[in-house]
Amino acid sequence: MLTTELTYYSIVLFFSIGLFISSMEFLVSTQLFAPYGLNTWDIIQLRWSSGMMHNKLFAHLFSANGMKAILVVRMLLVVSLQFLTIRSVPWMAAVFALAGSYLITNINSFYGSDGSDQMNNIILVVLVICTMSFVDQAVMSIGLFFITAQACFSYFAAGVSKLVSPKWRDGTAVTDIFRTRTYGSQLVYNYLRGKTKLGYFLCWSVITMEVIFPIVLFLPAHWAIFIIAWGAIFHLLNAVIMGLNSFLWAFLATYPAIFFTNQQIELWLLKWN
Amino acid sequence: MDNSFLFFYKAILIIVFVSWMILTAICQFKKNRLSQWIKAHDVLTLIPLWTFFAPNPGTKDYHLLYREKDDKGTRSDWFEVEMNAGRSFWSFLWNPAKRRNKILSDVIQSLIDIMPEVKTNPNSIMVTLSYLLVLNFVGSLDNNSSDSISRQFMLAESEGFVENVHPALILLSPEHPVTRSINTI
Repeated sequence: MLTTELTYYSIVLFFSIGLFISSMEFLVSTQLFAPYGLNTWDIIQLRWSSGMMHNKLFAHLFSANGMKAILVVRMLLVVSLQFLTIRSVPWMAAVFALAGSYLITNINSFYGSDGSDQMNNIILVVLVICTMSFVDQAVMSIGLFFITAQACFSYFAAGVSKLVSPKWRDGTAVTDIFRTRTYGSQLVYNYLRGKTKLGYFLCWSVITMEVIFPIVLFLPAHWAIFIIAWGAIFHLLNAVIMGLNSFLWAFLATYPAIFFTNQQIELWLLKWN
Repeated sequence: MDNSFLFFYKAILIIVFVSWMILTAICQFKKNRLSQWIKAHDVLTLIPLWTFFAPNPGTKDYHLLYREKDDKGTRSDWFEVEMNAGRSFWSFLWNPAKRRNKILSDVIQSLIDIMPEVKTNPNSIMVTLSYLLVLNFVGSLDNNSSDSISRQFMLAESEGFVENVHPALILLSPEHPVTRSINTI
């Protein structure tokens, strides 16, 4: 049985690996934030009509040098979290600083953020408000239930939006995505090309597994582990074939919460009976 | 900690999380006025969009090209900004290029989305955020040409690894004067 503390430590471990890699990736790409970069605050700030956004602080923070500083601090914080005790004052300080350094940069990330960043946002907010020193086990559990709800809903929403898509339903989507240089692979495309039945099977297996994913909460533990293992392999394949490395860590980080919730539901059902 | 405080804290927490889930559900699937209003006010991008690669999966590669004109009016060849360089085996662990590529493809996708809205006044696309980002980026690319007086960019889409299909034009910009020093990317 997973305790709330152990669940949070597992989440933080996966989340930290992903965030560390992602911060390193940005650190070698800080020219994106330079005045001539694709993510320059000089232009991105025009998105905001509010005068609050047009200030010197943000101009410094979102410059290439400001972003370098933020990213280095972020990397130090995710490493330090591995050595801190949950709900201790240093833990709280590290989590608050990490959330601040992460969420503030969302203001400057109108373009280019992806689902892994969105999941990281959710996990960070939960860490801030559910692992403070004064909270009890119930508050910590509520945070885990929320991560679970968002994770399960993410698969369900992704599955339903594929279900209404003609390209997914007719079995061409996977082959067509793998055909692109952006998210595909020449090797995999060459293998899939012309194999319409295999393409159909791949599309429908993704749709089916994503739509039914939330049942993971109500299955016996060994079946829940099977669904979770499917998710892990799915994200690993997406990382290998599509280069979506950050999704792997962000979604792996939600799995301890999902398993924890599964166990809690099983306990409630036992008590109910 | 005082029990009544914790009770109050839990109640607030549940309200916040349930509201967050409701807002998340509203912002999935079809765009509507409410979801657009929520997105416009979501400064910290806390409301996720989970509809990955659906309902319209990205099945095209985008290309950004530019050319310049010198003071004699001669235009250069088109230069392509490298967006889709092959990934290494280690990209499942380490893939820094994806960030720039994702920004560029989001920006291009945003321009594609805007184009039907500006049909009656095509020039208005030039004051959109995404157009300005591309123009600023293209205007700064170093092509070792010191006598260029203007630059023009082109957005195109191709069928990826299928090479016998010609890329299709998405947008051809007017020639924009080069008015600032050029930086090396």
